[in-house]
Amino acid sequence: MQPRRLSQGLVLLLATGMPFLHLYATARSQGDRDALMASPVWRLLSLAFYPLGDPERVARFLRGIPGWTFSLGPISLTDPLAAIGLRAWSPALMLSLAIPIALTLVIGRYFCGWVCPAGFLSEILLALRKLLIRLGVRLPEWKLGNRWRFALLALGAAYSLLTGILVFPWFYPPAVLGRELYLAIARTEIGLGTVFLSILALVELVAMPRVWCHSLCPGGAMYALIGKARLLRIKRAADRCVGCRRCEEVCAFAQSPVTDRIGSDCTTCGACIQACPAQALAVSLPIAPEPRVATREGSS
Amino acid sequence: MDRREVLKGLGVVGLFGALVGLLNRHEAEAEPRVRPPGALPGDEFLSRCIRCNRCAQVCPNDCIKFSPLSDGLAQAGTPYIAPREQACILCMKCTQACPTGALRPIEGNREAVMENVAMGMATIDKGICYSYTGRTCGLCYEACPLQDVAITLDLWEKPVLHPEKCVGCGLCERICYHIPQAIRVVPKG
Repeated sequence: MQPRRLSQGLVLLLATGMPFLHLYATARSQGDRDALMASPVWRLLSLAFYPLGDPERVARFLRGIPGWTFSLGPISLTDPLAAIGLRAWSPALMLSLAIPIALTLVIGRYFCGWVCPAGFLSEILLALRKLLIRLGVRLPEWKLGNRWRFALLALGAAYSLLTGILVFPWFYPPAVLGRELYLAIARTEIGLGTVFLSILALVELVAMPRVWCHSLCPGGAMYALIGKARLLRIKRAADRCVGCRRCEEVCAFAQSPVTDRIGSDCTTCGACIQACPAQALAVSLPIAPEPRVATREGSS
Repeated sequence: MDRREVLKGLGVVGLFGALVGLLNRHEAEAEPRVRPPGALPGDEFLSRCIRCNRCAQVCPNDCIKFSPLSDGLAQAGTPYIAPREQACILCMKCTQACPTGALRPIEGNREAVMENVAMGMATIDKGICYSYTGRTCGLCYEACPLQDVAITLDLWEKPVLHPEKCVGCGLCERICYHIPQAIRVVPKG
């Protein structure tokens, strides 16, 4: 399995698991616990929790919404988008921004490709769409430019700062997804966020694959801006490249490794590296003139 | 960028604007709610809360709920406490869990709670309170964590409130035996 899939899967699993963990940890009375255990889902989950030890202790260790603001014991992680639009930043908040920002400075928009649970779902939708097309369903494909997300980022930040009403938590998919999962599972409530995500999913499936991540996401825009001067990039070994353009075809963010145009929108997802038949692409430091590529036996 | 592209993009941005505007309409109608302990006053709290649910996740008493969208976009998703359903036990865990300081961190001891917590204050409807209508009760007094400070007993178990000392945890409202409750917590400020 690819490490990226593992990472995305783990985050999605955490986002889904948090409300269960919360339910279990707050089921104080034996009656509550018996009621939970009456369902087969819960018995299965308690098996999954078993190697982690006491769920209450795990619940104390893990907190928050993965992909929005999350704590692993003393380590606190917050999406920088959560801080944009806030009128005042507490020291704890600034501290929790440090790791995500540092990572973005090094590997750029890693969040979108490796962490964001909503992005993961969007990729699954794309796979589903491809399957439907292969089965003979004719689906349109509409495209949208990728600058509008900067407008959404700027408008959202300005609106929040001016009115004191935070809007990003309402349409930033990883935050919405985590919150709605929590409400749906731990509170059996369904909010407007679910409606928003469902409409988005339908649009992406039917007509505009990956439109949110590519064209509209204010978080993606912010990560692209922060990671503009990133250290690690995907580079092409020109002497190996056979110019087949497969890297272009697989890129969800309209990057073009074959012409060395890989900008700040690259999420380092590695799809192009995998697709390359000549193994001409690799992640590399900017100081290295040519990427060092694992050589095939017999060649070179 | 061609014109069609600009139009499409403007359409998307406009759609969001309209949505935000639409959802904000109810803002003025929302009644103030009892916030978790340590909450910054009114608007300041709203502009700091990033709707991360952490306060609810750490609440051992499961008393923190979230405003529905009918409260308006500014309020929606923010935590509140409905004491009649489940009241605050003043453990202060939520204040320490808040990542943005929308809930100021407060230590979980009696002195810190008495000094810093001002979720609301209890009010009595003497017209329906059992003790004030001839039947002795005194449950609210028994439930109060600041017994003899925020609430004292008069003759025939009549509760007497001391609003300046009340922190607004709502345990009295939770326990009140009368339906509807004769004692309720109203948000401070």
